[in-house]
Amino acid sequence: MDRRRFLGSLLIAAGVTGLPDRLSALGQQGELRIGLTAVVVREYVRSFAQFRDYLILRMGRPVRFVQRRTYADIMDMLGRGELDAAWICGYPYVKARDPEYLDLLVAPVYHGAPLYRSLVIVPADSPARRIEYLRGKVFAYSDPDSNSGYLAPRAMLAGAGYDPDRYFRFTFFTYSHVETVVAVADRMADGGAVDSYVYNLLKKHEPDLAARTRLITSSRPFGFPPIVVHRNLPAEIRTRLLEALVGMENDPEGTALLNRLDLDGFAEVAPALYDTIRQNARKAALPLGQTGADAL
Amino acid sequence: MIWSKFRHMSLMTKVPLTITLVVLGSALFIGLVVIKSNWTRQWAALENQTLALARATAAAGRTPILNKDVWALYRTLKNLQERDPASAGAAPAVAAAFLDTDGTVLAHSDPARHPVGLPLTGYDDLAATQLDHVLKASTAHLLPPELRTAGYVDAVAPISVDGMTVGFLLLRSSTANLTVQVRKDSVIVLAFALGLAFIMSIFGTLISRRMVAPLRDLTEGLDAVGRGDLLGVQPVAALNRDEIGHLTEQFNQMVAELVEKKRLEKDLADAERLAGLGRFAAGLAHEVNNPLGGMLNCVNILARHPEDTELVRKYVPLLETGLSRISATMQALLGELRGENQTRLCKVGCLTDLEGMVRSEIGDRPILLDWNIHAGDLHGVAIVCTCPHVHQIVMNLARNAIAVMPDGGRLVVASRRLGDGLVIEVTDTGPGLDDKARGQLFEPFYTTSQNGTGLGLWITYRLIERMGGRINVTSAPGQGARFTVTLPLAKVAGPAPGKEDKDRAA
Repeated sequence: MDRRRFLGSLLIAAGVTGLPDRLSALGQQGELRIGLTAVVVREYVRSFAQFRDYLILRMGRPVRFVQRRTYADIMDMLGRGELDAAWICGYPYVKARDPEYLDLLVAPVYHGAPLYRSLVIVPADSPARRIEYLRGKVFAYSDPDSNSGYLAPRAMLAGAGYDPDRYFRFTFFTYSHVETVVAVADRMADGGAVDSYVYNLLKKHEPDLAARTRLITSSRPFGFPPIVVHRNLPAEIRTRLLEALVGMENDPEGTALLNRLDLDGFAEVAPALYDTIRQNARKAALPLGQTGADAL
Repeated sequence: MIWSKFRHMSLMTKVPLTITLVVLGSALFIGLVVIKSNWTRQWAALENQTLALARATAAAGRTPILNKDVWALYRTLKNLQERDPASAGAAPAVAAAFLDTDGTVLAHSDPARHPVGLPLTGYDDLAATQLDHVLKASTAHLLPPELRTAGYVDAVAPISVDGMTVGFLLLRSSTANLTVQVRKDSVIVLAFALGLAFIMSIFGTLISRRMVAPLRDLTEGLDAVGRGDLLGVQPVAALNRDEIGHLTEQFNQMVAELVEKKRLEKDLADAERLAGLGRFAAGLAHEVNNPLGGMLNCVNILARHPEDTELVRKYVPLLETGLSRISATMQALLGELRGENQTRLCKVGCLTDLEGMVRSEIGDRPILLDWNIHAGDLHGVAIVCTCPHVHQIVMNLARNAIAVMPDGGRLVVASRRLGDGLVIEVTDTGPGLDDKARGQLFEPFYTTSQNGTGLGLWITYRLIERMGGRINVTSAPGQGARFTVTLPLAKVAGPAPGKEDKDRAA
């Protein structure tokens, strides 16, 4: 529903700004298509509408945000060339692609660094104090391609010597960090893994919901979900996008938007920033790519 | 008890009360019928909505259940409960669950109590039976009443894909809203019914009071008639041409007729008074004429034998007696006319005086007088009458007795006490009376003699009646007649010489 609402408002916004609704290729219509997932977006539709307007203004070309439910959907669209750029999680980023068609563009700077953590939360009245308490319980993941909502907690368990696949009695995916918080708050799940950025943002915007949950474990820092571009994207547009994002903190409208998103800005980062996630993937004995070429 | 109280109430209360009760009863009855049908309708609506909601929710859960996407299933249930209560109608789902084909919970609206991945356990003993029933469901339906929990309506809808059941949806609606709604409606209906009853009662009371008002006036009028207060009766206004109107008219007519009758009676009484005056004059003449006959005899005899001192000595006292009697009659009459006819008490002396009068009446007729009046009968008591009246009564009877015995006989005058009365008997040995004569005896102007006025016994009868006494006659042809007079007696404290003298003088 949220997704549909988000898409709806995007379409409405597009109509208002006089842009065509559906454009299939950048080459034809000159529209930059940026993919998002519900892992990031939920109630911040307005922020992303502003984000898009900012990019249109700074880049001088049409921009469209495309939202899908899962990272897999977004990754498939990128692979098929249906998207020009995407804000994805570090985990899908580190997954091997053959041939590689993505380039790392920027990562958001959050509280001074392009880092965030994976948090394990439980219902506020739960007696659980550590993740060990959740053995044999119901656990909520966000997305199977999410680092903070899937990989990180599983790596945490694997590091402690447990089999993540058998540790919990029942697990399910919510495909949204915010939904994971709801699942835990409603006690549908006895615990859940969420993105520290989304959880902190939620504390600010939906304190009542956040208050029904409690943090028990925090992972080590990981590279913040990056914005990636397709290698087919013309260099000029890529540079314009990079400049628009990196220069956001020097622009009054950009600053307002960053404040709203609780980010310091966007910065160019080295791919090595995501090595910890790569390590985690190994630790959790998870395949790093559909081909398995890069595994271990 | 209430009934007997009700029966004694005035119509002015009873009729409005009856109308009120009838209206109230009708209003309540209709109200209850409306409430009952409303309840039935709302209940059916709740069941339909519950079933429809279950079908829709089951359809929405088809894809997630195939993907085992429990969060999407839970989201579906959560949205179900987070629907705007206003648009949810009377059937908000209070609980719902998606079950796997083996009864495992895939999603439950109360995940804390019904964890995902575990078999559904109910709140009560019914749960196991319910689950058996649910897992056999092939079409969407409401749980049969015996499997329901009070206060809820449960629906089950199987979720089928390509003819195969892949899961079930259980949905529970609460009847609480329904109950509240029906209760609200009931209060409105009852308030309306009571309000209607109240208004109708007021109208009914006003109308019935207006209708019954003539009856109240009639009752008051009849009471006045009963008291004899005819002048106090106001004509009752007839409002309608109905039974009461008719009755009112009849009553008014009756009162008019009664007033007319009263007037006629008054006229008649006036005429009667005049007639009485005539009778009085006749009686007076009779009273005066009677002694006059004897006295004229005396005077004739004395005139024929002026030198016979023996006769003078014999008749002059008789003349004196006769004249005294006339004088006494006049005195009594004057007394009466002056309004001095208050009850007087006639004492012993009054009776002893009579003997001489009767003997003079007998004169030289061959009649044996047996005088048996006992002065002792009046010891300490007196006849409630004036002496002249007692004289008149006894003398009339004696005179009649003498008259019926022209060839001589025996006249007995006797007295005796009988309770509070004094009985005076006058018995003759005359020819006696047949039944017919006895019947007419006391009628005015009935006489058997050539020169009688026919007023003597009538006056006697009236005198006795007036003083509260009785007179009887026992007689048969050839066996003489006995007149029995009973006069009331009154106790006297002591001798009152002055009054007695006066009486005697009278």
